[in-house]
Amino acid sequence: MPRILRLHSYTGLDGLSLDEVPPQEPGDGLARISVLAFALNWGDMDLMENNYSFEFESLPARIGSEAVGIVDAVGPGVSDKLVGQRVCTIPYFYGANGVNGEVALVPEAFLTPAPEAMSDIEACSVWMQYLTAYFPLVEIGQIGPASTVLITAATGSAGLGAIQIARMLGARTVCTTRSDKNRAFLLDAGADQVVVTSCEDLLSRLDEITAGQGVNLVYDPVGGSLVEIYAKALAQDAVIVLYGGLSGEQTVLPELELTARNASLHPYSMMNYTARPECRARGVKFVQDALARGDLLPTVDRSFSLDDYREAFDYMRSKRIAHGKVLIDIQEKGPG
Amino acid sequence: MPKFIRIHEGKGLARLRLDELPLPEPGIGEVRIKVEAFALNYGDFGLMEGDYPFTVELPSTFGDEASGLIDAVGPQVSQFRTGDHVATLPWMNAGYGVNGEYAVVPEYYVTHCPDSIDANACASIWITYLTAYGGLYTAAGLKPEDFVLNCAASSSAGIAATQLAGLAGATVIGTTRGRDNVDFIFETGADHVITTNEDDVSARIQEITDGRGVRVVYDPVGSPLLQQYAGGLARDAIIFLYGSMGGQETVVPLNEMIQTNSILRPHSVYNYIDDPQWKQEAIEFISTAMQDGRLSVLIDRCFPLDDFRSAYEYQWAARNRRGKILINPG
Repeated sequence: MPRILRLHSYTGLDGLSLDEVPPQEPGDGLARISVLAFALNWGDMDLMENNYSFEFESLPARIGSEAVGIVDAVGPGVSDKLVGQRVCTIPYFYGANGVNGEVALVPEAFLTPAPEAMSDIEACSVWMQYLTAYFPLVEIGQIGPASTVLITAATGSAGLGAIQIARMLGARTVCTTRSDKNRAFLLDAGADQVVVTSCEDLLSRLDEITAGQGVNLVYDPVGGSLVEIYAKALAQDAVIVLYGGLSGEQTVLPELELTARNASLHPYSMMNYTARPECRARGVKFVQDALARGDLLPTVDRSFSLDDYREAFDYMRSKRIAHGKVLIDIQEKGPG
Repeated sequence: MPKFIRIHEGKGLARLRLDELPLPEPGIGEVRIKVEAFALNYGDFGLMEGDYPFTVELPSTFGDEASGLIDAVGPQVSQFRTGDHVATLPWMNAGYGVNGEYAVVPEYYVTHCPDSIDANACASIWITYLTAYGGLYTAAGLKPEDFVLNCAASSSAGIAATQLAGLAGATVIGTTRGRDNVDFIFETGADHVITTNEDDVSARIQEITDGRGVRVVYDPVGSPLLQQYAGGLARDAIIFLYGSMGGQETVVPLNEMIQTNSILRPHSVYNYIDDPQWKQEAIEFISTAMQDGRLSVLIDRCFPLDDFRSAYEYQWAARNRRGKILINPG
């Protein structure tokens, strides 16, 4: 029987187990995928602690929203032509249809052909990182060649995706990281400027880099006290896109600084945008076109076997030296 | 010599003094107004405490909202003449300030008083209605199907927001802390009132909106009220935060806002007023609606200039005010 990762209680990784379940037939509008690889995401960790933008109706529940696989059956209303195709899943508020496992049920609307030139692992690293960055940079912030984008915790895969998209749009990127060891990696990844927050003063560096003009868009999964610092270096009409709470701290609104710049703060999940068909279509087309031109190249760190899922999650949240996506390769055999 | 209220070093309202100063002359592009009325605003307290979008060098005149007759015009003034009945508009007026017997202001920040509106009413319009217009109309594009949560709805800013939101056809839910102001808030045109000391605010919003939530929040409070209503936001809600009356730091309710894809916009009319087209459209709209009675200012009480301290004490203390507090220098 196929094995799937299921959450049995909101107790983090301890609440997760690898369960064998009989394969389900796809219902209306759904395709069934024989999964080749799936990616791990920080959101999974938050979700497992019930600290996420949605919660499950009941437990146990499947988790995960980013997979690559071959369609092996389709439900009513879904074209048979999909059967046999290699597809990627587009992350969305997936409710009962998580994809982390050997099989997955996914609505047809959230499938897209896997880029032919890409390996399963690469194709599985595309959609979360690039769509997460696409909506803030292109649709919300509408950045262009005159813009400066502050990308915090930039070594994360969402940060790396944002660096690449910002470059495509001609914007200047200022990337933060806590460790000096990441400086060369971020410059290699395309960052225009790197600020190591453990040994540099972010505010004075932002003032210097932007010649006092400030940053137009902040793309931040950290929040907390960091917000108070960069809020003093915002450009007029700037937008702060807060897409996580990695700091573990409350985020206090820097009201005066934002008022002075007519700036706004937008707590953000890409899934709110992929939920809208027109938004999703624009985002998917943007990324597909960019992939076809070779403008975007996902960074893959490491893959694990399904048996080693715990190690994979532990690795993702460890202080990594390498950066990029952490994945489960279903075809990889575990030690057991 | 004419008298002006100025902020000095010190603490609390003792920092305000009535000073005699030479009659100021209007510079290039400026007009001088012989003030008949000026309005008190909470922002004045913010300015005194350094909790404001701009700072001033002390001692300093201050104040945004005055009305009166132009008694002198500087070089290159094109829109106004001596004898015009005018009101001043809110702007980043560091070093200016209109709270006194005379006010010198660049003509861009002056507007003719609508016909049939008296001096007290004219000095009571522009901060509250322009601020609400900028948020509710310009930024939020309020529609008849929208629900608006209007926090601290008994305040003058709240009254203006209730009236403007109602004029757009939206459903207005006013909030107030206790029961004292509930009837008054209904009288100003609110469709529903939530008492935040007693009600489960988010649950009441869900009930009133039949689960849709409020798309626009107009809030001078921030935390802790923000946490009380965060569970009542509609999809794509916009929260306009135009003050910090909660007296504490405003904490971002991250999960509730992500779930609803909401946006938090600290809001000030100062960010709108310098757009000439916006200024003209907003003034025309509000003036017209004031003249035909669709909007009307409420005035709570007027004080003579020599009693300015009582006026500020009254503004600071009174919980059950019914509109603007004004000072009449004449």
